[in-house]
Amino acid sequence: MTTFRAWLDRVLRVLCVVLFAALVLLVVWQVFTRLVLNDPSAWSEEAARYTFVWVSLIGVAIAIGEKADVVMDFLVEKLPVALQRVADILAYLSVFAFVGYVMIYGGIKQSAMAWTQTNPLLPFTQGQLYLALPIAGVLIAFYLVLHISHALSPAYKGREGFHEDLEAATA
Amino acid sequence: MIDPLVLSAILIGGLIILLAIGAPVSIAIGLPSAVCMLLLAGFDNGATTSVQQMFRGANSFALLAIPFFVLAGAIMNTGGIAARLINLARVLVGRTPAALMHSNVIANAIFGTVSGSAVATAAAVGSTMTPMLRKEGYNPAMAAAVNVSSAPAGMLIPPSNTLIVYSLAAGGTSIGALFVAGYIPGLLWALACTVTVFFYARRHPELKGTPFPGWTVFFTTVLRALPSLGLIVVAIGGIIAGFFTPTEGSAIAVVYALALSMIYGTVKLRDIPGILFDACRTSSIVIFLIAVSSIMGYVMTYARLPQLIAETLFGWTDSKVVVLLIMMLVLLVIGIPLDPTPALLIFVPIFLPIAVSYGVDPIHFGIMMVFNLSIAVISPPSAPVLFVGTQVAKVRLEPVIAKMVPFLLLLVAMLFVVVFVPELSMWLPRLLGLAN
Repeated sequence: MTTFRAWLDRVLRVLCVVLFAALVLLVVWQVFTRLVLNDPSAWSEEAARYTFVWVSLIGVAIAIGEKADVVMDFLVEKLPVALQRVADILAYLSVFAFVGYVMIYGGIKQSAMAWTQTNPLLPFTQGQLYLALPIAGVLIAFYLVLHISHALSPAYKGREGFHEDLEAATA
Repeated sequence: MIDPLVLSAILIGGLIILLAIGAPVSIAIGLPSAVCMLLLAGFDNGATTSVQQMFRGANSFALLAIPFFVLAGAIMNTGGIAARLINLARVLVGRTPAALMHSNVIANAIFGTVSGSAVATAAAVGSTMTPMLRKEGYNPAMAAAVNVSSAPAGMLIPPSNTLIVYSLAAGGTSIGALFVAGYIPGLLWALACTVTVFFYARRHPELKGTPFPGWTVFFTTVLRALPSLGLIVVAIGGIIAGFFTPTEGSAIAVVYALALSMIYGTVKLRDIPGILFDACRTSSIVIFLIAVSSIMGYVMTYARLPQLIAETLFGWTDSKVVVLLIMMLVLLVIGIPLDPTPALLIFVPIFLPIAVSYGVDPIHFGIMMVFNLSIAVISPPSAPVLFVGTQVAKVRLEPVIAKMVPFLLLLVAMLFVVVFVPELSMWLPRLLGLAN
């Protein structure tokens, strides 16, 4: 499990960097075609928007995996460890509920509904583009299982690591 | 048909309970919204409508400006640009008493012009200034308080990711106009900090300035800072002048910052994946919040929650002054536990229509909201800039909080000036023909 996790972390990290670099290039290309060539490229804007959705959802899976999502924990920190454990597990289950119902269930349904609907500018169907949600959902669910099993294990020492991503908080 | 009151209770109650148990803010907004969707549209349609709303929220070209400004800031943080800007601030105000503290305020304001985030500013300027301040015998807690208090000036001075979030939440208020409008209030923020430092220096005559280093040093320092400041002219100037969209401007800022750091030799090719990864993760959290808030927006509109809250909060008065005062008090209180992005996503749809009905311009309203929430990011207990500021200064939180009281009082006073003198926000955009 831990080796699979280490492998997954690495794959997602590489994917995130590659897609983000592609995103920068797409928008730079967009600016170049509009300002220099005077002939704005329509597909690059569309491609940038969808790349952005994909890279953001993968980024969120990574952030939840690293417990770097924005949370307020100054209340929970003051509780005794036993209650911190309960609060932590409830918090993970709430993420699970959202991810399971909206991102995985709703994402698959929406993707199936739009599976054959073509996109005029990109070589993918709308349904394929919607797959970002269920894929990110499954990744988040995997990390949640790890977090919950840690919270249930004797190694649990109270809420740690669950820190704010400080720059995101004031973006 | 579900009673709007039930939906409101689920949204507000769910948000409070989930935040209290320490769930991520995005889930505290998203889960109750999804439950409301389920009640409204049934199990299957509730899920797919939520998905459509999330996609609609995240799938926007304007939003792309946020990760790019974060990325440009991250490149400049590692690229030694902060040090050049601090040196510029030092030659500008070096002779005044408590010169290093004044330099810190000025450096934060200047860094705000190249960075979109208050935390990045507090970290970059604070970590460079701390050793200098220590060496010259400044009180470490006071020094950290100065850095923390002045860092949010960058949330008002463009580029500002917070103003981009406001523009989206407000349904597309011009980002260029908001950027221009932020300059004077941002400078007033810095001025409030300068005034506090001035009175502190009066009580501490031992903190002397340094003599003027001579014109040669002055000009070389200015010259060394110029390429970094060129970013403002190229990216922000281009956005304001309408040559390119904020997203295009942000992409140009990335290319510019990268080229500059490569020339300076401070960013190596092998550092780039790490910088990309950090910027990607940071901005993903913001984008996810925005996507999830679209579900809430849909439910709120359906439940007529804005009107409901408006009637409860403002039903008893029709005075514009009282309404704005209540809004600012609510935001000051809510902004302390809640970060600016979720606070804007929740409160802009509720407050903006009311403010507009009283004749407040959406540009002015955005500036007052961001000014207000900027105070919150330095107010304990949940204050990201405060935490970073104390970390880079290597001091404990409590003494810094004590030193921040005069800054906070003056900034709150300044907030009311910004709220009740609309010309401070509107004069520049009107001058440039970006607002009427």
